[in-house]
Amino acid sequence: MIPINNRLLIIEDDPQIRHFMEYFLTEKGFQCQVADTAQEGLSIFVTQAIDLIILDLGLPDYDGAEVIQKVREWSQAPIIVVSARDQECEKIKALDLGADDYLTKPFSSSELLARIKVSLRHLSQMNNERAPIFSVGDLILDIDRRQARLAQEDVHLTPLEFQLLAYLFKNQGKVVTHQQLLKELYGYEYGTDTQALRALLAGLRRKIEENPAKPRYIKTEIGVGYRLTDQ
Amino acid sequence: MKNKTTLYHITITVSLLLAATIASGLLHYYNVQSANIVMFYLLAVILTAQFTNQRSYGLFQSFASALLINWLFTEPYFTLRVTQSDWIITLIFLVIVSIIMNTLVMHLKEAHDHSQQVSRKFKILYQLTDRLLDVHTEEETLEAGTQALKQALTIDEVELVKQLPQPLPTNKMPLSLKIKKQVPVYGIIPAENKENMNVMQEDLVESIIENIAISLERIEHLQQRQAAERKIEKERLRSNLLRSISHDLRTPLTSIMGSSEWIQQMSEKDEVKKLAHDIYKEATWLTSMVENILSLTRVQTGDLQLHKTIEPLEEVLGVAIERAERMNGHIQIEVDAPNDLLLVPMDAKLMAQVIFNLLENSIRSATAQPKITIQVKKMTDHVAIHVRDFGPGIAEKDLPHVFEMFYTNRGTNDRGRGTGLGLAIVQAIVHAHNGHISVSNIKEHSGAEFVITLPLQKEDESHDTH
Repeated sequence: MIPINNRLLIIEDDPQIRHFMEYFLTEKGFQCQVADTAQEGLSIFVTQAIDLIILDLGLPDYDGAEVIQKVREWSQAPIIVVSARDQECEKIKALDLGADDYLTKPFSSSELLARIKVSLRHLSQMNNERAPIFSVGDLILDIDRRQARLAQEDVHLTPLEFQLLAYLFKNQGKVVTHQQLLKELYGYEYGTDTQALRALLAGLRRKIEENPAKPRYIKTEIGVGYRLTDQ
Repeated sequence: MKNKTTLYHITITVSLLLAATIASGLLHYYNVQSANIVMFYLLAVILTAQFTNQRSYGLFQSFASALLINWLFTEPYFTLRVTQSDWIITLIFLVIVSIIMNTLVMHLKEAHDHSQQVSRKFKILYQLTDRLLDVHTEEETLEAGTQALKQALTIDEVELVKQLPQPLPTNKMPLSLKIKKQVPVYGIIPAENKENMNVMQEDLVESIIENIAISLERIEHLQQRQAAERKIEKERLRSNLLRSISHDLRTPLTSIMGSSEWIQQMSEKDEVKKLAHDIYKEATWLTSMVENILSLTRVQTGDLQLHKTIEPLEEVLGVAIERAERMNGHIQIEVDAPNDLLLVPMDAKLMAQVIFNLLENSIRSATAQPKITIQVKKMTDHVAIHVRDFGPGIAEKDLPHVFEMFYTNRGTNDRGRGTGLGLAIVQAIVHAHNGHISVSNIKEHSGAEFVITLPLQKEDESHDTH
């Protein structure tokens, strides 16, 4: 019997938010463990089977970034970072350290649920064979044939654009930082110069989006990166 | 003063000559060997050279001595004739030796004076630099410099200033204008003292003023560094404060929004659903209020640098439109932008808020199904963003006030109340980007039009090209 990935660990020091998340997610069919400090959270994580962590970045004892590093030393369990800090650099730091996604407070419960589902889906896909054909809406990407189709029409993509879209599809629904994209596309740390990436993405949008200023597929996360929509 | 010294020196010369003559007269009277008479006169010349300040006194005395000896002490007496050839030689030698002696003594004296002056100069400079090590303010430095100048010139009416008074009083002169320094500093002395200054004093004055200038520069740098450190500290405190406020406000909002949303979903009673929905809406309103206040604080409280980076305008528009659509449900937003990628230097997050606030404003004012068009036009050095709605427009009397804080006269309806901050923030953010914003009513149809223009080039880049 394949275990259903529904065991969550919520590390959040604010009791009200913790309660609301616990009630809401339990209602949605998850098993929730809660911790109000990083220390407690980590000890639950090492002693019990946990599929996904919801982590508040502003914990009283440890910085959230340290928790991510500790978890990533031996586990690939998805981490969704929840933060009231609107400093983009902290979100980016968390994501580049290995967090899977983030939510900025205040967020809606549906957003939270959507993020959790996406991350858990990626977790289960990691264990199974990945489908070579991705699709969202009218957009289809066939990895093996290196082909992209939009509403039954072939879309001609350059190799770099194809690689970019493929990477976004592999992380569909999750945010991907500029750094991650630069590393994926150019193979090395490209510094903070994201100009080339912006231009590449603008080109890709012009091929697959009806109106690049109202993107249907590739959404912008200002200051952080991009997200290929899930629906 | 000058005449007095001359008179004094003449008196000395004459007295010494007289004393030598009297002494010689006595010797002569007692029939002591006449050759010793010469010695008295030689001594007189040496003493004269010692006590006077010019060679001419000694020279005068050399010749006067020879003549006097000839007249008084050589046979025939009281004539300028000489019978003994010895005397001629003696007198010639007297003149030569006394001239040499006079010159030597003068040289010696000059060397002595010079070394004394030099040591005095170094003493003054040493004291000054020693004092300058301990000064911390401009006033102290100028005071130390003034003291040193007074010592150097042995006058009281001298002062050091950072700026020459315009016009300078006619009886005053500026000191040492030729020193090139980053920090200006000038000495002012009475005109006659300036004329009397010797080379040594001029050198000394220059050194003093240069030292003061260096010291002032050091103090200025120190003060600049301290000011910069204070500024950094202030910014750090402020951003910490902003962060903790935003944290403290957002945390409870998160649980209010989340809980009310959940109650809304879970409850079976319509009344509870309705109330929970109201709570959720209020919390949403409060959230946008918090966001607006935080943005305003960031932009308004002075010199916080915007995080301007080159961003594609379409991304910023996309984010704002998506947020507006998510929060308001069905709205029709049309975007007309050039196909070229438009890169604009801006703080993307703040600019997205600008567009979002404009959209919100239009949505709130709309009477029926909100419809908004966004048109982007690229100009040579700037980009213009036109946001037009099809609402009732803005009353003429309100037009000049729409960007004022807490001005919410514009007809609000059940779509929600404004915060009265939205457009004020829009203006503040646009201005912080060196952009421009205007508002007018559309002539072709009812509705209002906001036009934002943003420079396409970063200011620092445009500076470089000049």
